[in-house]
This record gives sequence, C-alpha cells and structure tokens, in this order.
Amino acid sequence: MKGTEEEVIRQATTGDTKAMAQLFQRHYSFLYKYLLKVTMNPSTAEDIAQDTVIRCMENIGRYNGTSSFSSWMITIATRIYMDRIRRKKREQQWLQNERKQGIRNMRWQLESRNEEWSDLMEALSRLSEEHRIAILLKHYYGYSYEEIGSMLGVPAGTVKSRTAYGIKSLRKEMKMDV
Amino acid sequence: MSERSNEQNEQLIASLKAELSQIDSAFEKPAPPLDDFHKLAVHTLANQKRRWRNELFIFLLVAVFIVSAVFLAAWLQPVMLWIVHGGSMLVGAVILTLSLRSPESRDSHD
Repeated sequence: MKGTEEEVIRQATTGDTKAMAQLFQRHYSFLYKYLLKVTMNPSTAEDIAQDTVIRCMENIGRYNGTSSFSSWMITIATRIYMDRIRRKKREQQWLQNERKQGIRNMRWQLESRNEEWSDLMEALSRLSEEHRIAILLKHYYGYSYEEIGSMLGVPAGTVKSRTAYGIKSLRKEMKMDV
Repeated sequence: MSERSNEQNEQLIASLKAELSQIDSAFEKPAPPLDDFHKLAVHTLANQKRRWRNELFIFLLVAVFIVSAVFLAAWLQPVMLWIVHGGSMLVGAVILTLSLRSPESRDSHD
C-alpha cells in the first residue's frame, strides 16, 4: 500500500493499522536520528524511539495536522526523554555512566568509519539536555523559537535564552572568544 | 553583540551542522520491516481497548457502589442521610464564604 502522506495519515487517524505501520516505518529513521543527537546514546535513542512509536500509535487520533507529522513525533519523543531524565534525576551516577557509555559507542562507530568524534561534539554532549535540545531544534532542524516553545511546553523567550546560553557554552568549551 | 562575536557564532553553528550531519550518515539505521510495525500497531490498539474497557468497568463498579450506598442509606436512615448531606453542604458554604471574605482572597481579587 503506497499513498500520499496526507492520505496515509488520514487513514491512520481512523485506526487503520496498515496505514499506521506504513506511516511509522517512513518516519522511524528520522525519529531515531533525532533521538540519537538528543540522547547521545544509540541504545537509549532506540529505546525511546520504540516508546515514542507506541505512544504515537495510542494517540494518533489526537494528531490534528497543525504541525508536520515528524514534528509531532519528535515533540512526543522529547517529552518522553525529558520525563525519563526527570525520573532518573536521583540516579545521577547511573545517568553519568550511561552518558559516557553512549558517547564511547558513538565515538567508536565514527572512528570505525575513519571519521573523528570532534571536540565540538564532545562539548555538545556535555551540555544539559534542555540546552542541547534547544540548539538542535533551532540550528539543525530549523524550527522557530515559537515552534520549539510549543513543542517543549515553555515560552519562546525561554527557548531563545536556552539556545543563546548553549551556544555561549559551546564557544567557551571550544575556547573561542566569548 | 559585536560583529566578531556574531561571526564566531555563525562559524560555530556551521561546524555544528556539519558534525551533526556526519553523525546522521554514520548512524544510518534502516527502519524495522513493515510487518513488525503492523503487528505493533495491532497489539497497541488491542491493549489500549482492553485498558479502556478495564477502566470503564472499574468506573462503573465504583459508581454503582456509591449510588447503592446512598440509596441504602436513604432507605434505612433517611433522616441521618439528610442531616449528613445538609451538614456537609452547610460546612462547604461556610468555608467558601469565609475564604472569599478573608483578606488574602480580597487582595488577590483586587
């Protein structure tokens, strides 16, 4: 079954499981790559991608088309990730280890392709999740501050200051003039 | 912000984009087969329906229990029921009036 995006979404929102399968398969790779950059950990990214697909399938009827389907998915994915971080806040040591393990995996994967895990990526991975997400959504995915604000449930001004602070921190880490 | 600083920001953002694209291509991951997604969709929707049914059942059970308790009380001790109901309504009204007349409440309304 092949159809236009709108048609597949329409069928999926009415509970058509075949259309749902097609829709989520199309967007899975985008979702995984987004989560990989947010979590900086391939296995966490995969876990959250699966949780996100299930959550989206359960709530597909609520998708109203005001944003693109991929934006809707990454909004849900970001919220799942932030909830997970908040729940595990007490397990700081465990989170640190998981983060280090994730970065080791990513560095190994890049180096196995003769590519380098740069200082900039190291600095990005050291930023807090909130700052990293704001930078990614603004400067890599090209969303506006207002769009990011509604995705994260915070005012646009907060997103703007998180992005600016994140960039400033990166410059500091990279020892560029601040 | 100075021009030099803006320039450096743009330079940093450009390198960031390049590095992130590199990660995207290094971690190219094919999506699972369509059949897996289909099975997951069927399973998820079935689970959701079952959960809704269970929640509705529990809601009805609790509602029936409360309504029966009220009817039973009305049947066995009608006077007591009216006293309890009337008393709790009176207490509610008093609390509401007091809270609306308190200085904190007046301040917040001004």
